[in-house]
Amino acid sequence: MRAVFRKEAVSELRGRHGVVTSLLFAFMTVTALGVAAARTSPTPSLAAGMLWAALLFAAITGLVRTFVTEEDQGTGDLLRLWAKPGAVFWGKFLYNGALIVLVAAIVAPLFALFVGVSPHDWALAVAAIFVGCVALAAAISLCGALVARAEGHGALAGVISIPVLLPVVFLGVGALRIAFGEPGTSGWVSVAGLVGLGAAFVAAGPYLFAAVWKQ
Amino acid sequence: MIEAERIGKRYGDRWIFRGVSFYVGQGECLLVTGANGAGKSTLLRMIAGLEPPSEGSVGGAATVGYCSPELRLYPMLSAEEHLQLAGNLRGIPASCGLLDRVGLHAKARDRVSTYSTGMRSRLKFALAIQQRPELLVLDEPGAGLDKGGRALLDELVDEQRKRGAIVLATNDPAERRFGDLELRLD
Repeated sequence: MRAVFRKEAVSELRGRHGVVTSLLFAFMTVTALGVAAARTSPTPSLAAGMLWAALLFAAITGLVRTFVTEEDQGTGDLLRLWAKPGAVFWGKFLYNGALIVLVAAIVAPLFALFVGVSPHDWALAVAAIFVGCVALAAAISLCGALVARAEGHGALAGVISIPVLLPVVFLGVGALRIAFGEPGTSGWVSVAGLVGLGAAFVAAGPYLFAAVWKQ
Repeated sequence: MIEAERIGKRYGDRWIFRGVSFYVGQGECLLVTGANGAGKSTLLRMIAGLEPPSEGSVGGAATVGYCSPELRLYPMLSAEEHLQLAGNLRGIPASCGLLDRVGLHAKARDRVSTYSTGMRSRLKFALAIQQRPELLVLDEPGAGLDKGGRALLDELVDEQRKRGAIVLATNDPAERRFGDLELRLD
């Protein structure tokens, strides 16, 4: 698992394709939202939705990174020869998670600056973004793992990812809008939901991945 | 050492081959020959465990080393990092001395993207023998090798005979001398 993570990180540090693409997507989204919200003060619900849209755009590039790129480059056979599917899934999930959390750490302050919103409940906001990013990484890793070896995986990834990503975004927005000041008490419940969802994806991922790994 | 029983491979409705059986014992080299598209590489992938057969069964060797021109290396990693990655995932020492053995010591820390075809083949040899496999599966092993590379291939085949068995796919007349048994796919 650590070896796969290290391989992904070293390749990324030398190529910088993933982080640059993610940051570019996120920066452009935040800038566009900032311009759109220049003369208005978005409601907590709208601000939460906007920030999650930016994070989702940044994270979605990970769908074609790691698993799909491995098969497209033809290097998947190396991992099939050397590693167990569980180690590959965990290594790539951790890498996706680290990258999305890193991007979020840059995007969230930019969003606050450009759009002009700041959390009323900092602990809930940080928890919602962090746990949400990890759940997002789990969902994206699961989808990427399942479609990587399929023909026409681009279209298939889109179809599979919608029902997997929607609950993550729904819960993430739910937690963040309360962190941004909307009245309610369900913020931490949504964070708990994200933890459960992420755990379910991570638990199912290695088994589902193992089933398609050598097909 | 390695046994296949009535194995076949089908893509869609088309059978690439069917009913293939063989046994390769200790110290033996099975030569797999046949026209392009006959399924040599597919058969070798099945033996290496990279693809399941559509019917029949194949197995026997606990550890398999695999080398093929189709195998792609990580362009951003060096030869040394490839051995470290493979070693970590397999739970064995990285054995960077292998790079000396295959003539890549001077380029051990260069990225694979800067390697020639022959140098990549040498690294694939090193990765294939890293865990001292019981079975060595070689697909067109001489492709892209210079004279020194071919001498290295001779050494590796001789060494593997002492350790286990070999399955080698080729249409190169110069490599036919390695074979003790022949399986022709048509």
